[in-house]
Amino acid sequence: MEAYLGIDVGSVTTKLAVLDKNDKLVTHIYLLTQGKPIEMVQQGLKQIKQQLPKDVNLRSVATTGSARYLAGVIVGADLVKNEITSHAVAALQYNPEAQTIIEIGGQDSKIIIVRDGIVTDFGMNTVCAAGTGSFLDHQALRLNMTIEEFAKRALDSDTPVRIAGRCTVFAESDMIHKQQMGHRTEDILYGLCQALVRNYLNNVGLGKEIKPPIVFQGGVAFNQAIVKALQEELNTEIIVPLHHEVMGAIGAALLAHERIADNNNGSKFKGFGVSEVKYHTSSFICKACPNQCEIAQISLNGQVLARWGGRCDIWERDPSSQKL
Amino acid sequence: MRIGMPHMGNLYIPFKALFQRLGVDFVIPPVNNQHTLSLGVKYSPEGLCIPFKLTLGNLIEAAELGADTLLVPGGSGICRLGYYVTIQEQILRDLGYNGEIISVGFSQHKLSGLLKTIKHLSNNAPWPKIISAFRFGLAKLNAMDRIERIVQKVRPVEEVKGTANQLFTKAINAIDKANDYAPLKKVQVDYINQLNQVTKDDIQPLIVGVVGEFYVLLEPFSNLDVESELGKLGVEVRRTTFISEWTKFTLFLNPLGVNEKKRIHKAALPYLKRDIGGDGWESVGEKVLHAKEYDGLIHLAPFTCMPEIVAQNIMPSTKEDIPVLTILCDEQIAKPGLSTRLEAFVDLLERKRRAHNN
Amino acid sequence: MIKVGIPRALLYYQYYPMWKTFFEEMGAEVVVSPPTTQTMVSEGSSRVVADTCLPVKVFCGHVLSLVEKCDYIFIPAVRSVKRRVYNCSKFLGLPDMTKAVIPESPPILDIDIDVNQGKRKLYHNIYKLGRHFTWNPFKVRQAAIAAWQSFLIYQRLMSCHRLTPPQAIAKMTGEIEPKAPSLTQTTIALIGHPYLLYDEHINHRLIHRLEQADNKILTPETLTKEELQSAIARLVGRAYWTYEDEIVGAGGHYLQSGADGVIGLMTFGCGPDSLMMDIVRRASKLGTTPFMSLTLEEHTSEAGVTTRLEAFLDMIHRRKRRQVKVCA
Repeated sequence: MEAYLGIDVGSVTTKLAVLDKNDKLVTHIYLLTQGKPIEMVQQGLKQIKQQLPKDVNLRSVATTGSARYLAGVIVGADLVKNEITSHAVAALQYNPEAQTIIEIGGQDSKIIIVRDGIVTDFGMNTVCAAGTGSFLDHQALRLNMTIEEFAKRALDSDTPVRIAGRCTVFAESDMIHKQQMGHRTEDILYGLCQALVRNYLNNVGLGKEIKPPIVFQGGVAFNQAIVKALQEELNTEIIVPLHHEVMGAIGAALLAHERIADNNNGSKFKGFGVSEVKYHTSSFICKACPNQCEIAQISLNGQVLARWGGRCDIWERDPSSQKL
Repeated sequence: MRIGMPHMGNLYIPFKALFQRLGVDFVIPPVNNQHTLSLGVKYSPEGLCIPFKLTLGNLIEAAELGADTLLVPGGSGICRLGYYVTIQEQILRDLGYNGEIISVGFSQHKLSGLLKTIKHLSNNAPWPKIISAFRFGLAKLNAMDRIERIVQKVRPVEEVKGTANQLFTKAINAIDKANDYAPLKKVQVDYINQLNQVTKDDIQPLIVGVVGEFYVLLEPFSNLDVESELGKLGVEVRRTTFISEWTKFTLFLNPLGVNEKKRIHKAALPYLKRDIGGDGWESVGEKVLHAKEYDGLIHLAPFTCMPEIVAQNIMPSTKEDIPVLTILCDEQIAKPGLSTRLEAFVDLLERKRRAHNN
Repeated sequence: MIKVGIPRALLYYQYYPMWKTFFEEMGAEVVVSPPTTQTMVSEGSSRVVADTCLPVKVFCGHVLSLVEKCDYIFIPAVRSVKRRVYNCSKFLGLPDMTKAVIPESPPILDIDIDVNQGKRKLYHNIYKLGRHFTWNPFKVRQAAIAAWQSFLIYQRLMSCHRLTPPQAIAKMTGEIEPKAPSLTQTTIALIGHPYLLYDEHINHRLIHRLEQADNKILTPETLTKEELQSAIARLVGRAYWTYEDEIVGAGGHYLQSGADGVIGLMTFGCGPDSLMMDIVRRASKLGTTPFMSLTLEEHTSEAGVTTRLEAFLDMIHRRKRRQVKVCA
């Protein structure tokens, strides 16, 4: 069976998706990264192998997400793509009419504006995390409930409370203030959802022409309360694709397929055996100049595979990636 | 023609009087509130200061009320204020506003420019009528500021907290209603008497100067009414900046060569040699000048305001040393956080005074 | 020999050759601080209040690196170089602010540059600056003329020979010959203040990255005054800020011609930048050239810059590819 693999390693979750030659989703994996991207990629590969038929022939592999270079080195990716392009490609695969793609992830969120199937503009959250999933995670933790319970209870709100503050810290103090004033928890929860949506639109979506159809993807799309808040704020229907949480990986797989179509070279994929190998990571401070860059390196059997993190080129030996 | 303009404190009252006398339709958007701010934040580019956001909100609300001629403060200077009109116009046009937008540049044309704008707005009313209306507006402005100065003195010592503020609100309404000089005079005398008769505690209040950027100083909504908060904490607020003073000097006396700020600028010279735009020079100067009479200083600045950031950087290095609390005003600022900081600041001043007296 | 220190930050990129010539003509030796490093940024940041913008923090870092290396530090207070067109407050406050936050700094040579006050006042200020070196007004005059000459050469190297400021400075000081631009398919125009575009540390080697990915780079300095002015006139009418050229002028020009994509660089918390970038962004909506703005501050991560950059280039390439497919 001919197949294409996409791996999306984000800060919070790791996603893998395999497509067949007709770009149909064969299987996918969704794991928490837990700060161990290498182990999770290995584990993901192991798990996905078990779900694939024996005769699978991975013709091309692409990685995406914030740890795309690292993942690319580990698996031997043919293509390393940023998550914006991957998400756009995947969204358009399932909803070719889409004009706006909203992606809210754990630590960053994006907006992608599409016209006639071409990306014309995009935005990403700047420094702060207020328009991202971690905003809700943080508040849920503070309220001592799981994020699932949070979403469920938020939907029961009838008079949401306005939570001020763009930044997580400010919002938190305002939330505590509202609690102390005796508002219902449900109303505070939905107020937080509205705050996230508002922050997202005011920060990431600022100045963007948000037109329907709007596709909402990323892990936060699990949260029905956020979907509702988005719908209310934008006053239009929001499409949540079936596999919204693995769209980045699907996009990467699509791009991997596209690469084969463009130039039919063999794959650099190192095979599923990669999941058994012990990689070694370390870091050191470069002393070549006063910049004090922290250089991270990954090695296998004492041989350095890749290094990055420097402000200059001297440590970068990373032939597999098309790094800028 | 329906004229609309942004708020700054109670400035709408003299303008309303002026336009009423000239028979021009004048729309007053709702006073600054959370909705105004949300509107401003929603349509402003990121990283802009609160004066921009609030005035934009006011303009949008004025347009919603049917204003077809918007007055936007502008003019040349080093601060970004002069650029507001360019962007605010584009934003309003994008929102579908197609009326007239007039930039009022106070700094360049001074009195003549302002009068000419009024003449244009009043559909070419005769000059004597304009001047008389303008004078009446000024009279209201002066009356308001005179009462506010007394309110600042009463707030910290009033026995029942909030009395002065209530009287102030009533006085502002009465001034707004006064339709001629005689009733205006009566309102002024009346309320000054009432304020003087408020039962007061026998305490020596701390004296705190409030300095900083013009708009956030004069628009209580933008600074969460810091002056009233300080009053509640038993602190007497001193502020040099009043719109009536500013008008008097900028429009009438500065062109004649009288500069009220000379003293302030001279005081700032050893630390800051030149005008840096906005009100940064004055902030430094006031600290130096009033260090002896004030117990502390509240420095108000819009978030990202460069002139005030420069001032904030320079202030700690002055020999004339009094505690300074810088408050950055933006849409993030929240009352609980501000009160905590103000209380702590006042405690610090209290303790300092006690230690000094012993 | 008297040593005059010049921080490699802020206005350095616009005026360095002029300043260098002036002080050398006055018989001084010019010491320039090294390119920005992380240490400079952190040390500079530690001196000023947190809300100060990144370029000023960087500037303080450069001043700190010059302490004990020179007898004077030159920090002009540039208010206006064109009638009724102004500079940001930070340039005016810079000499006094530096003195306040870096008390150990060598004496600061400042000069008021404000053309609104007339030529006489300007000449007077130049003489006043020259007094630190000589009592002979003719010598100051000569130095000023020579400085102006090198400024003109510098500008010509940029606008006629299409060199970037660092390349032009390198050429004038005879350091290295600038490499000829290679033939590539995609042209990216960068807009923003020179102190952001050419400080590789602040912008995470943006130009280098773009060139590595086979893009030809255009910058505001490679445009002529006329090109800039006509774009400004089209977008905002009369210029209000000096640096409107770098953003509104260059942005307006490149959105219309010469570039496949325009990237704007700005710093977090800079009001003028966000206002001007907003104008460019609005203009980009009317045309087809893609535009992206990158906001830089101390905490901007390299990953944030590269991801955006990759996505932006992908967007341009995919669009081009689509066009090719449609045509074929």
